[in-house]
Amino acid sequence: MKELTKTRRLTIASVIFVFILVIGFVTFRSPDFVYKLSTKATLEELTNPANIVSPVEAREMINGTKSGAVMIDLRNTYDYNKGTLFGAINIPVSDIMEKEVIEMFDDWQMQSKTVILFAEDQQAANAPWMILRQLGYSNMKVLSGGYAIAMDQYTNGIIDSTDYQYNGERPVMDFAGFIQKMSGGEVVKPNPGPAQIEPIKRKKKSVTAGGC
Amino acid sequence: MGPLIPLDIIPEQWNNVIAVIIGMAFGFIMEGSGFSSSRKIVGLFYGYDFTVLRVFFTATVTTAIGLYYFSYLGWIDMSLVYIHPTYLTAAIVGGLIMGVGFVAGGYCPGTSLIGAAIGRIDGMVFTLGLMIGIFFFSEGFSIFEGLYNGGFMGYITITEYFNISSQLFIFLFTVVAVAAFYFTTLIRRRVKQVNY
Amino acid sequence: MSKVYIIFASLLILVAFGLVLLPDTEHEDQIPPEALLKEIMNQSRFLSADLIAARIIDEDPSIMLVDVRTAEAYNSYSLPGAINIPLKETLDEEWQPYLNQRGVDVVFFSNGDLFADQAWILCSRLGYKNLYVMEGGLNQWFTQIMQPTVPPDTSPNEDFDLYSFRKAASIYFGGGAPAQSTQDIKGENIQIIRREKKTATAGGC
Repeated sequence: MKELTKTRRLTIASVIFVFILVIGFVTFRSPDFVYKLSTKATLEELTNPANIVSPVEAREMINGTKSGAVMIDLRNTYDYNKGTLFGAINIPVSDIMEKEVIEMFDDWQMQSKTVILFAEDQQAANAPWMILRQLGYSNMKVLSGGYAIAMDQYTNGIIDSTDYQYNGERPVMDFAGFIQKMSGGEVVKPNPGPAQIEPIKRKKKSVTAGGC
Repeated sequence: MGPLIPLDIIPEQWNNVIAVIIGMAFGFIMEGSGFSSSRKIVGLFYGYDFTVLRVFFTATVTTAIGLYYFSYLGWIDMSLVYIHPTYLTAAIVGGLIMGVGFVAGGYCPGTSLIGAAIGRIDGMVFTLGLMIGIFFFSEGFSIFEGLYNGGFMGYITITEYFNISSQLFIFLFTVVAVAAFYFTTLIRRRVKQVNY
Repeated sequence: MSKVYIIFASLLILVAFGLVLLPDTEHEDQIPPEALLKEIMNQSRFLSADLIAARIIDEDPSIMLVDVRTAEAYNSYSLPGAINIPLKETLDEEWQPYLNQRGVDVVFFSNGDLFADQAWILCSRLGYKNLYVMEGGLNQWFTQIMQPTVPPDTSPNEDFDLYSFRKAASIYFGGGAPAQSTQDIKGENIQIIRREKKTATAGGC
């Protein structure tokens, strides 16, 4: 009799255990979006010049022989309506992970079409590009400099064609020289940073009394 | 979703309340499994009763399997689960002392309290001895300190140490547990039945 | 042995075996892509050069400047108190304690804000908190603070306050009196306008 009640308890416990697992698997939905690139691989992609398209290259890709490129305007609809480049498709940044948009991106990736993203400046297009690139869209590229600089180039011609000139990362002046001049020959050296860091450790609880 | 307290889903202040509730449930299960009897517990060492082994193996295996399924389903973040730090020499020495006390006294610390709670005199004596032991250890901590902190290996698990997959380890552990259940049943049949 | 126990035992082994078959989910501490998109839409990661200047002048201990440019550029010039974590080394093990921490606001900066923003996105994906980007980077720092332009006479008072703050800050940071200066602000009387301090977010765990 005693043995019987115990197996009944065991049965109840096992059924509940399995039931919870079944509920878990039924309600389990795999995430819609998964990073396909690790952070390390993404970092390498950042320095890959093939991901940056200059305005002239973009024009060639759209109009010239290298057909099969799509332009995506990431600015808001208001700016888009005022004017855009080469009949670009307007997808505001907030919409880049909408279902229809992702389907579109998937199609283009299947057709291995180059997709050129641009916004007002390169920095604004960079963040959405990084997300899409990390989601695995290797056909995505960023327009160097962005809309303003591209328009300027198309109307006024190319002024400069070095690599990083449009992304705002070229120093506007010789910083060290400027400081030296202003402070009278004194070179300001950066002093090593603050050491007050508080790394996140595995959370330690106070001693737990274990065992039975 | 989990663990609930480190992720602040349950405020940390509830820690002790939850500890009391879990403690009650723990005591209830232990008493229900018959762990308030020192003879039943010690039966493990003499080979006439293997309830202790079964209960704890089942509990360990169920918990491990459940936790890893939960982890897969995203219900718990295993990296936030508290892992007790390993002090290897301290654990070996402590385990030996505890084992001797276990066989000699018939209780482990938790079960002695359960025994005491249902009014068993041996349980009360054992608890008293426990307290005396704690007293001497605390007073003489400076003597034992080297041993107490001996062989520190950090917050490490067996699977991390041997670099094997946790899931595989759990599966093997389950197989070993079930095999142990089977063989202990065989042993129990051979050993003379003890009435207690 | 009763049949029930055999069923239980096989159930246990079955469930445990199912665990082995589960695909390996890598539970890195990463935020999902949807959340990352929300984060990049949020412009509050950009701190203006003025705000950072004010915090440096205040000797605010809760700010840590991170120069993501190359070591060469860093050695030639960097902001006072900045540490150098070149963009390429952002994910190196040795820098993680600096980036992944609580209590200090990490401000990335480069010459512009592109590289700093890239470092920001990488670290944000890893779930690091309290990260910021200096708006416009050193270029804006030098055009705005080191060489402030006098606002037109018709500007509201706030612009003049900002101008005198920038002027004072530029002297503080070793820029001396900017060439365009036409206003007679005496060096001694310069009042550094203290901006409202952003309270450091204490990380709760």
